Amino acid sequence: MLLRTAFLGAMVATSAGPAAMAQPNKDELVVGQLQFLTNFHPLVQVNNTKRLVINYALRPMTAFDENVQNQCVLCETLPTVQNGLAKIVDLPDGKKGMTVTLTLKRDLLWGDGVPVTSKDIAFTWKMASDPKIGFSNYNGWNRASALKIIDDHTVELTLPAVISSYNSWDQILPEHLEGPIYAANPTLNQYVKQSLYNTHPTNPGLWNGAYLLSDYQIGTRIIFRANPKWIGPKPHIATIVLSYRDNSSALLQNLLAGAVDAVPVSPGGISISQMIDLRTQQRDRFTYHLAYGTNLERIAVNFDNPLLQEKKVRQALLYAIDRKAMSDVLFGGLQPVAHGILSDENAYYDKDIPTYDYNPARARELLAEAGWKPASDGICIDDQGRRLTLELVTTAGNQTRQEIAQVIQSEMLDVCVDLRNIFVPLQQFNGDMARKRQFTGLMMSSIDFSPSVSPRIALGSNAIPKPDNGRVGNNFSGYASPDMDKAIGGLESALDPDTTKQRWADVQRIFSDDLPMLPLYFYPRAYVSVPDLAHFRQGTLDPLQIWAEEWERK
Amino acid sequence: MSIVTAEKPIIRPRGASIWSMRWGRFRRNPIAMISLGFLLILTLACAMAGPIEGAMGINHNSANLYIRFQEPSSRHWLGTDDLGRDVLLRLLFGGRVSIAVGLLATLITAVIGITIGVIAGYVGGKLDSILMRMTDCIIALPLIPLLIVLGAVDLSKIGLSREAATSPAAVFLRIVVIIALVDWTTIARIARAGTMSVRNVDYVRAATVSGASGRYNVFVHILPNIATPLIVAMTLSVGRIILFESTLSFLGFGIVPPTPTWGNMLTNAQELILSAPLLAVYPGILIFATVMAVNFVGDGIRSALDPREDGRH
Repeated sequence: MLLRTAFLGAMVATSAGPAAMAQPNKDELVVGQLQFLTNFHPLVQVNNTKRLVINYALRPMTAFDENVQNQCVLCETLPTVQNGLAKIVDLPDGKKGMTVTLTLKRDLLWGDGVPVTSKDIAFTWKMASDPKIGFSNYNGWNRASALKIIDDHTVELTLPAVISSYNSWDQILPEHLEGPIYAANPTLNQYVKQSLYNTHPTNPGLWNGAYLLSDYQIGTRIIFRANPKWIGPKPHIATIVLSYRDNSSALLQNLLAGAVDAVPVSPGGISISQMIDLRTQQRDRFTYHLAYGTNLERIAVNFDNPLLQEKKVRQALLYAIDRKAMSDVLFGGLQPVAHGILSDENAYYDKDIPTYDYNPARARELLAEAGWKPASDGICIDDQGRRLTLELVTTAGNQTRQEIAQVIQSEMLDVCVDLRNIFVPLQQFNGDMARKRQFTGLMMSSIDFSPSVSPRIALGSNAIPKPDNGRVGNNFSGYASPDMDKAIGGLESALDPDTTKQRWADVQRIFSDDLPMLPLYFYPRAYVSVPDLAHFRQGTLDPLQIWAEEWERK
Repeated sequence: MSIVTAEKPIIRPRGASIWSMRWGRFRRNPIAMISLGFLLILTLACAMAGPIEGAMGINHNSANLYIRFQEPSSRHWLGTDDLGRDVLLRLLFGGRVSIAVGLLATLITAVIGITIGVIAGYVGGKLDSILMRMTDCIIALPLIPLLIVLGAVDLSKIGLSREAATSPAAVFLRIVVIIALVDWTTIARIARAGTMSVRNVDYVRAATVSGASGRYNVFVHILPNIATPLIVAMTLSVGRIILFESTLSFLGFGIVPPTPTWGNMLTNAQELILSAPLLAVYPGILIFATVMAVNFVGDGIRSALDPREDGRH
């Protein structure tokens, strides 16, 4: 005890010294991060890490704030059925569709001074609709089957169906810069390599947000500076530096030493356990921003593996995992257990769905019903002599995930499942394992189901990454269920809250029965920052970087 | 008339072999003997990890989140770690892997390095240039990307079944091979430098003129005379390799948890430095003590092999 206290005292004393002496630079904010981007293109290979970066400089058309309200970011008025800017129409084929009118804010400029116009929306839509390109952003422009330019700032989109996310639209690309590149490189592979986002990301014309990506050093830092062409409120903080570290321990030490001013809490930053420890040790030295989150940590189940095609096996696996212990003990209750893809704080969460509380006895029963019986070494075999051996793949270097994987491995052994953990570097994980679906059994990662995002991105049969769709989509499980596709279609077309709630209940019920993923827990939206950072809206449901110009160091 | 007193002769036992003399010299080095004893006891304890585990009735890999970070007790002599596993057992099991990786990789590194260094130093000329430029290339390669490339080699694509390729034995051997492939350069340079200085001494030239082959000169004259710096380099390698293994674990190519090694226990403890600093101290102390002990034993061996050390101990 004495040794531990002395050790901790020395750590705190040496860490507090430099930070106490340093005066905060009110014009700069250094944000520590993990996982440098594999490419800067805003609409290709979109994941949580990329969204934490791109939104400083390239704003989406719309975004959800912390009150779960959809806001216009680049548009003048949010189109709704109520205000008439969105209409349900009869299409020539007899089906119901929608028209949505989007008008850009006046005087909106790209960073090089070229106006942002309807041509940019039309160009982005054209690229998104090209099957050889395959953007993977969450609110795809390819949801529109047609686009008509009304004037320099207004477009009318035609949607082939009635969808609830009709007024959620993501980033657009600069036609004057990316147009010629797309014309010369018509496939995704070629285009991504030649895109200015990857060959010259500091070109100001690529960005239209409050900041410009002005400098970067691969693997080390990205620097954003205030965009002089931004028409919105001038950023209070002139420079934001994203400073990358190899691991969360280094990130934490840099925060304690004052080398960084803010860090996200997993994913992409320090772990929730580290935040909890830090909050215990240094309650007053930092501000701990916490809010409910929609980012789900889950285990994707590969449906190509015959061992996992049996539903009872998948259900047994989930019964075998003590998620409550993880949530309570490892995360101090701050990462609540996930019973599905919606948090129980979500207004559309269906409390009647079956849940899979920890029950190893039930897991063993289900496995027995599925034909698996323990052999002499304690591992289940079936009547063909196959062992119930599965691989669990996750990212190397992520301490929390590695811990969770080991806990799950230990718990699986109790129900006669032989789980082998494989930790791979991030690039290999995102590339071979996820996009090419080379994991053989189970894969642990996170996915954010923010309000504007349809569950189709991970549960729809058309979201399975394949060679012929440019490997776009986050349905890494390869799950294809006509019932789920129908339920998702119903949800996407629901426009009023009551219908939406019913449709969400259908999706959640099918999910809970089929278990195409094993839901583990939800990450809170959390950041740790220096106390002088004000107006830091970390509770927004879309990335908080969209409002970075409001941040201020007092 | 003056009285001349003869020096007391050093009496060696009749028929004593050179090895028994060397052992005698080693035995008379108390620090080396204590270190050797420590290493033997540590190795024995690690080898007995299985029976100890059975006697304690605890599985060293079994996680129980409800008993994490427990203080030392009669059940868990060094307490429990972040996943509720017994720390003492994990140190013992970890020692098996770490010591094995350290010793085996050091031996292979030494064989590769000495072979290349001695050939380069003895033959000289163009072959020396080629071998040393090759050595320089290996030194110049950036280590982390090189480790990633080597670690990404899929063993199942070179003939092994997927199960064999991911088995603990394959992972262990992969680590040893990767380390050996990148870590031989220092020993090669030391061996080359030593060989070049010894090959030109008179007795070696005389042996050559008398018809001794190159192999004879190398094994009889050169190797014993360059053993001292090589032994020092090898003993320094052991600790470095143990920590090298933890770097590989961090990148995803090392021993996969839950299998403990001192290196990966140390790496894992980085995140726990605020909540449980002793989890870093225990493997750190063992690595430190092992490295020191190996160094002292190496120093003892060096002294024992050096004929000029007679009478000093």
